[in-house]
Amino acid sequence: MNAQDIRRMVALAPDRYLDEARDWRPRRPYWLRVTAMAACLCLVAGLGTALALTLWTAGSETSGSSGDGLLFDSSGSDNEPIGVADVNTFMNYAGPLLPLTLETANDSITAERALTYDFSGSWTTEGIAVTDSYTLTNTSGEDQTVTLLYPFVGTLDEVNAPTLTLDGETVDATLSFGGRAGGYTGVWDEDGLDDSSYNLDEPDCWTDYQSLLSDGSYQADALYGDWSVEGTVVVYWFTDTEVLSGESDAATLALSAQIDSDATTVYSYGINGRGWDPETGDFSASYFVQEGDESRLRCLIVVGEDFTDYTLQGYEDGGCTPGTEMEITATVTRQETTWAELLDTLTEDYWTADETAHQRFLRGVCECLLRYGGLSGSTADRYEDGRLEELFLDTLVCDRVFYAAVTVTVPAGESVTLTARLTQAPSYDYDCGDSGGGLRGFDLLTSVGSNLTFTDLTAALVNAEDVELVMDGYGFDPVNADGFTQAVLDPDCDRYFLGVRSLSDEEEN
Amino acid sequence: MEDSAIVQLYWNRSEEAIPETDAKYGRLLAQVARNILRDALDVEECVNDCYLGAWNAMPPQRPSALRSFLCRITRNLALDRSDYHHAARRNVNCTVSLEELDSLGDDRAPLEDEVALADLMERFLAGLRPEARVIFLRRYWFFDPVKDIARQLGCSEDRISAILSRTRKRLRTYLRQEGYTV
Repeated sequence: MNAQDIRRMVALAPDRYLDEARDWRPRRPYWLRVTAMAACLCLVAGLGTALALTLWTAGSETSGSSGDGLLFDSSGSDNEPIGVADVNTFMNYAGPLLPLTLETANDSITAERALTYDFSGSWTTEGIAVTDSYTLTNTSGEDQTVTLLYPFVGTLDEVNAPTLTLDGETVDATLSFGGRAGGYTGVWDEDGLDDSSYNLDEPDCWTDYQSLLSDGSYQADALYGDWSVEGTVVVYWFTDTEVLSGESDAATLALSAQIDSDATTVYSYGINGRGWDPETGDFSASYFVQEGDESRLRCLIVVGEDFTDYTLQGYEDGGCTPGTEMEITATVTRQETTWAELLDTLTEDYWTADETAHQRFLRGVCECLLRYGGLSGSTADRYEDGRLEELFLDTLVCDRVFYAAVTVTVPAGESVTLTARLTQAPSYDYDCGDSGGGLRGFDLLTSVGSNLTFTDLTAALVNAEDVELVMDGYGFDPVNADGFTQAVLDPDCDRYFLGVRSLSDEEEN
Repeated sequence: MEDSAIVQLYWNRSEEAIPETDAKYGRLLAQVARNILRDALDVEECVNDCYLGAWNAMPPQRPSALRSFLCRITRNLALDRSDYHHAARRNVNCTVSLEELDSLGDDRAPLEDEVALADLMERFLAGLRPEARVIFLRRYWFFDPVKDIARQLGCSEDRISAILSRTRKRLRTYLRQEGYTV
């Protein structure tokens, strides 16, 4: 596809998305932020800073408490507080840092958690290096063997698993993962958001993860969920496609058949166009014949009643318009196989990865197919057309929670230390206004999804000389003459938020 | 005036259609043209040509989304005009935007099938988060400067640039998964 094609493709964006682009406004209207700010300034003026901060903390949107109440905008000359609402949703939300948990709750184990955020390197783009350390103490008189689960947010195409050490020794962890962290949402039209499920609705706020993980079902599903896909299918493979006569850059081969939608469902892979007329039962599927693309897998997957007959016809382009016929042939091979075998083949074709990553991808695809796709019983509108590539891509790139599992024995009355080292990607917040230029957000959840009892929680900044704390819920003060870069946190506070920007970037700008 | 009433004016061949269109969408269309063309006279001519194009198109067309219909005409006219005058009279912002898009393409012969391209675009956009989709289209369809997008959406320019970069990367991945060489 050349540059001109890209331009033409963009120019063909549908009207509804152009309207959306013109009408779009940030989720929280400016007036709301101004009102919130004004109200808070009144509080500050009338009651004093300490009382204002207390009220702010109490004003968290969630039922739990939240450390984002202690926020200051250090960029402003008046050191104005930033409202809680301003840092709850993100345009590009990277997900929070999550707390360690045990596979099975154990009252004998308590935990002290110590975090270090290292701002060396290209942290504004690649994220900060986090050392998340847990000292686990066995308060009972008996040895306790527990499986530790370290949860983290990632995607199947970029897992970015943490490195785990146990008392300083690197340990191999078993990795599990849950389904997509987000759901589906409708399409914007002139009446607002409709109730369809054509679009992805990805998490853009820490509370999305709070909802996802709080009741333990997501973790249980990740560890024990059976996502094996059962059943047989009939597959029509298209190979050896050849243009016999004529010339066209968009030469297309189409298959036509009659189907009864109550009895037959057709999925596709490597197929560019599909059509079905519910009145006549006419079904068609077509694909472009591109030079150098012969090795690409293409198939139709029939579930239920098989095609009784079909015809193949070539056309000059994907419109498959009568009068534009061309002579194109292909070998069509019918195969009866299982869903499991077919998906194994197709996922391997779709994404090149090592065997471990491939098996994860396959499992993710099965989960999506069973939960949201054609095998779910209530297919999301997004996957109604049966194109498996759509589902594959969503499975690969959407955020989900992984669990790195390590089993350890904690001797009676003693402690072990598990340390996770990982990179936390930055979130980009829409609603920070002009004062937040270059702002990066990092969320920390202290207890969501964890069955551990945390007795102590501290955080420290390292290599933060060039970091400006724009929104600091921790109470760090790296510019203090004493060099105070540590903070003691409240384990009962659900969430802490850090909004920072690079002073060196600012100077460059 | 409602869009449907304006469209009806065109269908009635009422000359009132033009001033009504101008009153409602003149500024927007000028902005679309201004994002592409440098010269104020070119912009004005482009908007006037858009009205002529709309007059000629309706009837037979009866657009359900008049605003996008007009923006599309203006955009095409402005790009044609900027090509005609070579890049010299093109807004530098538009040139940068097009170059960012062009970087995704290869040297293959152009594809002919607009239906396939439209389908590709629609499915790609449907897969984006709304915010990313808005930013992508404002930058590459409306050619809004990054600075303006940042101001309108209430965040910094470098954040917009980062999101655009990720979206371009996602588009490249998507096109490859769809079997295209980019």
